[in-house]
Amino acid sequence: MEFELKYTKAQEEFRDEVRAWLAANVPGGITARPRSFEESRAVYFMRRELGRRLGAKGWLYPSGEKKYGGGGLNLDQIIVLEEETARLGLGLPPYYDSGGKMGGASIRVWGTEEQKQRFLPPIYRGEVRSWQLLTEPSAGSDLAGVKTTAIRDGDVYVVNGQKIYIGSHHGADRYWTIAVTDPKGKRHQNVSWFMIDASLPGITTQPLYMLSAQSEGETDEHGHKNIIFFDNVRIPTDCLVGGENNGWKVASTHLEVEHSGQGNIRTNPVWIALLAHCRTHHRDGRPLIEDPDVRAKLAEIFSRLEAVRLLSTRNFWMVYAGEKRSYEGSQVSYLRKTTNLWLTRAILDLLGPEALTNDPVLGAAGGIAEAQQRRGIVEQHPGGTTDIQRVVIARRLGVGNREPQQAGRLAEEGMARENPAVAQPVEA
Amino acid sequence: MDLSLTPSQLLIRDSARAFVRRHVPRAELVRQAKEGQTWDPDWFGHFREAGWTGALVPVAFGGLALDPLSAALIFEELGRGAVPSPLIASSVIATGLLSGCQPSEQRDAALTAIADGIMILIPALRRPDMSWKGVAATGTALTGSNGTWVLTGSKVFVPFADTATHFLVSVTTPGDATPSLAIIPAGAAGIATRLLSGFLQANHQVDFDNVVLSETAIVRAGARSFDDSLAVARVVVAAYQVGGMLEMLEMSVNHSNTRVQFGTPIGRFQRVQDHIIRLLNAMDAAKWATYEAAWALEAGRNGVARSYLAGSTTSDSYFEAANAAHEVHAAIGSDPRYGLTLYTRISRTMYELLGPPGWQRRQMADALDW
Repeated sequence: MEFELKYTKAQEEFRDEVRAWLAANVPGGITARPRSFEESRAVYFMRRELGRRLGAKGWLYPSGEKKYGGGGLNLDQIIVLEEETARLGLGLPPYYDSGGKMGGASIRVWGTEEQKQRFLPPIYRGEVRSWQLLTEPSAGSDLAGVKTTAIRDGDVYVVNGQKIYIGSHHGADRYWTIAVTDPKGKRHQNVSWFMIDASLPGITTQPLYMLSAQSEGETDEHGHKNIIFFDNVRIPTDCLVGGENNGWKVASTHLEVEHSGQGNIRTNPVWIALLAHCRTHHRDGRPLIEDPDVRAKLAEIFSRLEAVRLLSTRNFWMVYAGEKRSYEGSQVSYLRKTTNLWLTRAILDLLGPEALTNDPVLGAAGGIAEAQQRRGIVEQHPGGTTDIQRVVIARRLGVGNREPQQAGRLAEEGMARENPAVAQPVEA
Repeated sequence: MDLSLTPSQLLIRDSARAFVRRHVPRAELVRQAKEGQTWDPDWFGHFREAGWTGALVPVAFGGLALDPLSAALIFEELGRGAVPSPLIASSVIATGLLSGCQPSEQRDAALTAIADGIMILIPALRRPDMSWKGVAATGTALTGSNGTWVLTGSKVFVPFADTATHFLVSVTTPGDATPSLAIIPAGAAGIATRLLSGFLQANHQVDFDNVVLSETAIVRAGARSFDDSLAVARVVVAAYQVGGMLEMLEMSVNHSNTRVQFGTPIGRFQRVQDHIIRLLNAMDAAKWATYEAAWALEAGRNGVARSYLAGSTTSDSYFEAANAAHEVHAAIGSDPRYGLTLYTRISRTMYELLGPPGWQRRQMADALDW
């Protein structure tokens, strides 16, 4: 067993290439906290443009198959890309693209070859931004209880209904959504998934600002949500993915990704900011880091966050190594959410009320601490509440004398086995 | 033993409850919060008419001099309504601090003006460069001599500073080891106030730049420490927090009974019940710690120690109760239009209003002579 990431010469060469490319292509100010709608829009356009450039190199969705516009990169290269973009405070994609990530992952598993060729390249090349549309006013945790309908009418489906708590700011090009295609059908056997053109007639959007928004119109992408209304929207039948009334099986892949089944190897950026703040900020005439109480609380925070990091790393390895997965995705989702909520008070105890303001002078860690206070609450719920995650974990374990449920299928499964570079002896 | 409220206490509570129900609809609070309005002067006018501005002011200065529990019951209802106002800052905390100071013309006039509702005296205590070690440790050094002092420095996390007619600033005069308080008109030359944005309710930074004070502005500490003088204030602040928890409990129970998922009200699910019970336990622990502290202060049974217990317990509990309420409500609770976030924001803002819970517990241990 080897926990440490050791890098081959090829990886280090790839890192040099990535770092140089990012230095030349990532514009200044792309991670700035927007203070106005105009700034927010400007930052968004910067991120989309970076996405297109990354997409042109196959780095936007590096694990995606090359023939569909993905990078076709091996695990070693993906690790380097993740590390180098994270070093700049960016993710992949560098903008909110839930429909691209989860819709794309689902299409890879459940789409036809024609659909993969049609839907995936624009996502992978950064030409479109997509949102997932799942929650409805009366269907949150109970996804199978959605009321939005998509009724077949000749060569189209006619969609009616509304989705809530959707997306982020500045709109999307496509919607990845689940709807009832057989209103008289049995639960779980009456829903289907669609990748919908967001500009179709009959679709309207109403903004919705959550607790995590700084304020209305003055927001980063985390607090701005939307209500999307469908009023007799006619969509071509070839936008149906995975077969009519087969949506619950498709959902298994979507939810596996959303429930952290893919894992990651990132260090929590809030931790990095906290540690830096305690090293550089003075109180009572000394750096915070020299205060024994601060050190003890920092150590406690680090310990809790390390548990999340380790299990996320395990999930990442399991997927790429092709290990049989079960409860692991929901376990990480549950731990991440509960830890982030716990972290809100831990940070408040650590830093005091400076953790509650994003004031340019007083706000701790450049306002990152304050943002965490709000996001730690809001992010309890997207992608399944902690209660839902516990249900999934119990079912995957077979608790209650049930047949253990299986984890959802992912396209990346066994990727490392197919490309053994990661298992090769490490060069010095 | 009798844990019931007296008829007069019930009357006071019902009066406050009626005010909140009649005048402070949640939709209006949501609208005000959305538009950045921090308080409603009309509501403050009602507080003045009801005598609540002088709830803790001695009768000799025109106040009601209510017993701690009666005062707590008023503020419990205001907290239940999430009513934003400078009343806690001025009529509870500043009044508590002044009441513990040496009598003087300046002090007595301030107490009278607070009771009359013509002075809103906002405490400006916390320094940006120091962790919280009690009010006495917050003094900003004055310069000058012969009774003419100059104040330069900043005070942070000052609640409702934008409503102040005057600030009550913790200071130290040259050569004086004991800190004092300075009563300074909010409009004095050299004072600047800045709203602190973020997950806070109406907190400000107040900067003092060469503000000239005369000796008559200074109120000297009395025999009791500032923090001991705040014992009643701690209980009243705790009661405001308890009120918030009571409302969140009611909202959560109602939501669990009306929100249907999987074909049944979510309150039927044990996990949702668990969150509500967590909220209930947090609320009840805080409520009874607060009530007992109010009784202990009135009965002379080490009320200072009990006030620290109430203060630390309610700050912890309000935070926890808000978390539990959000678990019950899921995404709906994070939508500011619903109104739960009014309480969440207050639970965070008030967490350290009179010192961090851990510091309060240490003070309690000292007060109990452990």
